Amino acid sequence: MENKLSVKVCTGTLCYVMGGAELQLLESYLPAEIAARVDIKGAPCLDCCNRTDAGKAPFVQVGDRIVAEASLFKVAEVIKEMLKAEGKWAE
Amino acid sequence: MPGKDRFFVEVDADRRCEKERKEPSGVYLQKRYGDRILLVAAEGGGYGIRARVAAEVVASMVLNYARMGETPVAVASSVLRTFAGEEGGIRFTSVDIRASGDVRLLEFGHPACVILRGTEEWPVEREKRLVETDGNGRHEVFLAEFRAEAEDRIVFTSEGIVVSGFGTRRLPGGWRRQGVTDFVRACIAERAVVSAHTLSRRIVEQAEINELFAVRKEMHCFTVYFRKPRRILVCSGPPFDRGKDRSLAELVRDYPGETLVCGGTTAGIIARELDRKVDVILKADPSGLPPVSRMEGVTLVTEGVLTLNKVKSLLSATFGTDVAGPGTDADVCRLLLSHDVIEFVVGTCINPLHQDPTLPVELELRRNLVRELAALLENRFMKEVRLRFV
Ligand code: FES
Repeated sequence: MENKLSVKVCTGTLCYVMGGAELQLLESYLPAEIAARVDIKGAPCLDCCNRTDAGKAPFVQVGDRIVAEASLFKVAEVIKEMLKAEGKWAE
Repeated sequence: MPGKDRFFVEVDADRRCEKERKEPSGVYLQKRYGDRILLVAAEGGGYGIRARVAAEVVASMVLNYARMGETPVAVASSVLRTFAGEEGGIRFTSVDIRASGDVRLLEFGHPACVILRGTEEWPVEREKRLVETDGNGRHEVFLAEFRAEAEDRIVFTSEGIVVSGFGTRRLPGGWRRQGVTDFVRACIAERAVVSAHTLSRRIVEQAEINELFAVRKEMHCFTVYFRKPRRILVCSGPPFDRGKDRSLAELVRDYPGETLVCGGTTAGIIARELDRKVDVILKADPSGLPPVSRMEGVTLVTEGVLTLNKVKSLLSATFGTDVAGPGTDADVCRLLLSHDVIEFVVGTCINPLHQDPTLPVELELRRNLVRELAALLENRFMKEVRLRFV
């Protein structure tokens, strides 16, 4: 079975109030062919909200990359970029 | 404190107004003063505002005199002297319960409370005392003192319940006190752990059925249930000292009851220390709160301050023990209210970003929030609350 790209959406307090609530809809926002290639999970806190070097909430982790100030659009772009880089998807 | 954990005293009440009346003229009050619980049901005679005001005065007099340590006879005579000449419709019953299980009962004008040990009526003897009022004479008040044990119950029913069904084909003489007692015994036989809430509700519902759903006389019922305590541990917030992470996790692991973890970081700490997984259920919650998670050995894992804040608001708007609604806030309220002893362990480590004034919502300080929540659970819902900051 194909190895899916892991996506972790932070559902912690800070991320949630900084606009993370809409990120729960990520799966339905992604085009079907991309959604099929990612494994979206929630995370209680990605531990970025305690660090000063991680940028601003809300955070989403795509593979090993932390996306700060995440929005549906921004996360979808990062996902596409990483899938392309791994040769798993072409536009 | 003796008997503190021996049993928990669960109290709940229900009532029905007469058909076409919205507000009852009788009053029921319950108050917890430290380890002591005082319950009073009072009626002022007649109907409407006047009766209501009289009932409120009687109830608060009984409550406050008893709290100040007056003897039951002194309480009764103060009330009856205050209403001398108009005491015809006055009725009151008070139950004074100590943590040791010692109970003092004072009854005037109402049907005698039913006291049960398991499914059997326990015939606690009443002492009849005469109270004299200026001018209009002598009144009989009844006193009883006993020590309750786990699985005992006290059921108070007003006249309206005892006479329900009067004149109908099924109950020409009314339900009577014996009918109420048999009904309560049957309810307990059917479900030995039936709650005070359910029992009060069932009694009033049955009385309403006896009345063929057209209540002719206001009904009041309260039930006291002495039962083994149900405990829940609520952990919220990371400990101030990271060296305490392990002991927090062990507390959750070894707790002899249900556990609720409110906070993503807290859940992360416990999961890390116990080598367990936290699975977020990524699903929009109807209350608009962040999603809940699952962790092995923990009853429920939720987000922290936003959830606690909503729980506090929902509880502030709740009277009785029924919380309806499909959201996480309602789930947490129901979980808390279904327990008797609620132990909060609050981590005092503060995330400075939570206090950032540019945040779109103001995040209340966790410890203040939990303090308010604890006070609410203690004062309004009569829970035994323990609060610990780590
Ligand atoms: S709340 Fe999102 S990283 Fe901590």
